Amino acid sequence: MLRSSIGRYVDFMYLSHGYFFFAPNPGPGHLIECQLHPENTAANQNVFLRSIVKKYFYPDRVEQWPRLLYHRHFMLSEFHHTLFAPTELEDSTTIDARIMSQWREDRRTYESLQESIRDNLATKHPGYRIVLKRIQHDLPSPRLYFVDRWKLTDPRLYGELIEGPAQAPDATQPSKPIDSPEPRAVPIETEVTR
Amino acid sequence: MIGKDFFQSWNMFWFLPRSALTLAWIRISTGSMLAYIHVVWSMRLADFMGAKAFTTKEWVRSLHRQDYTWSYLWFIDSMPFLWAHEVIAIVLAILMAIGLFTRYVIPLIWFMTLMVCHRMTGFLFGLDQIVMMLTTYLMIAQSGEALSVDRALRFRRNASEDTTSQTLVPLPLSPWNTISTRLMQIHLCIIYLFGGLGKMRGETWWDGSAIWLSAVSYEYQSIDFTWIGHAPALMALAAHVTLFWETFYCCLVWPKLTRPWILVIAVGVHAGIGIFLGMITFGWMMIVANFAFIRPETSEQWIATIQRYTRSSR
Repeated sequence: MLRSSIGRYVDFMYLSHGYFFFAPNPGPGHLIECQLHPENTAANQNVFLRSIVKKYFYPDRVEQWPRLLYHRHFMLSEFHHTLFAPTELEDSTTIDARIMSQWREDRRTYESLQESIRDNLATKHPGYRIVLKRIQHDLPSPRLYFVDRWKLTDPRLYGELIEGPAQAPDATQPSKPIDSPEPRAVPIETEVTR
Repeated sequence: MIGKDFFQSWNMFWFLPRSALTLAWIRISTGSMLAYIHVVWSMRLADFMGAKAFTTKEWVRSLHRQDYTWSYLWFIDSMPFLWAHEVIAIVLAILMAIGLFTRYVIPLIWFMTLMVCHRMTGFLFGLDQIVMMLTTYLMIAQSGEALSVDRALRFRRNASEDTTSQTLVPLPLSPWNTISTRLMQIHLCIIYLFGGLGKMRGETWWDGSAIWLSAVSYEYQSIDFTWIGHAPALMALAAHVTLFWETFYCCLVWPKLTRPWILVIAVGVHAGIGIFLGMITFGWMMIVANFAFIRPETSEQWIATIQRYTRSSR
């Protein structure tokens, strides 16, 4: 009721934001990986995967300076992750129609964001097909960091997040640091040099 | 009788006239930060707001179709217009910082920055929220009455006044300064309360590991403080102090006895965020927001001390 009565005011005045700095838990970082493929790459999936000419990441500390400029790009990559909606829902036959409708809308919003980012990058890289990936940069445990000597930029801490059916993460669950030297489920192929 | 006391206290809390000295410090810092924010937008203006921006104006408009935000930048992506917009915003922000035409400049820079905020959804973070909050409340204050070119010009017009020691001349008192200050204070209390309650939902703030997770968050890290992982007791202490301070800030910042301690912790926490977690702009503006709890009389004493020191050292 309070929201409906003052919602217009707080929305317009840019006061309608929750204040949750590093809450409920500090979590992993989320990056956008931008892959450049030749425009006329064959449709064959394996050929396509091998055709990467170049790839880079947002945010990038070196390319984006000063720090506030870097942070703007970091917020975009986190926002890109926050808006993610999977390509399909698990067991969609039993899901409530309203949830399905919301998911379709969320997926449209996410896809149109990706399209918007790709269009921007296309102006910088004409002649290339651009593919965007969501990358999660996990946080190492003290044991991995101090005992196993993993760096914070160790490739094993980076993993590609799948676009397919996935359960929504529970924000109240603690963000456990990675404590296993096993590689990520979908490790990215090359070292992130940032 | 109780009712009379209550209304008297209420009136004093909200309307007892005060000088604009503390608000002037906040105005200078906020204006400077607004100028910097617009300079940074300008560095990649085409990427941020142009026709082929990361988030196009059509996409942002579509995202906000169900809320009550609006921006003229949802309809304009002409680069000459955007450049003019940002240059004007930078000039206005500098005028705000130096306090020239203050009464007109603050609402204008507030509105232009608000339009940018509604355009730049997805790129914003706490810095934008705090700067906009402070600018909103500065609009109703008379912060141009102190530490400003406006004030210096007024003295110059009046030849009988000594322009070299303007800060020692009593500043005009206004209830608008009090209202503005109270709104900042209360807003800050709400920010911290919800920040604290939000952290309480997470386990890592209870077991202390939140500090480790922050230390190894490479995307945030600006200075390596992973050494803290060798001191679990220190991590637990830092996490618990943060949790307690943030949640109870709204209670403990008001009594004279606890206020200095709460403000000292605020400076420590935000300086830590700024220095170690790469958010120096955000950390600084949070410290500036805490200035709202420094009484104008205290600011005057500090300035007088600085002036005495500088005169004696000449």
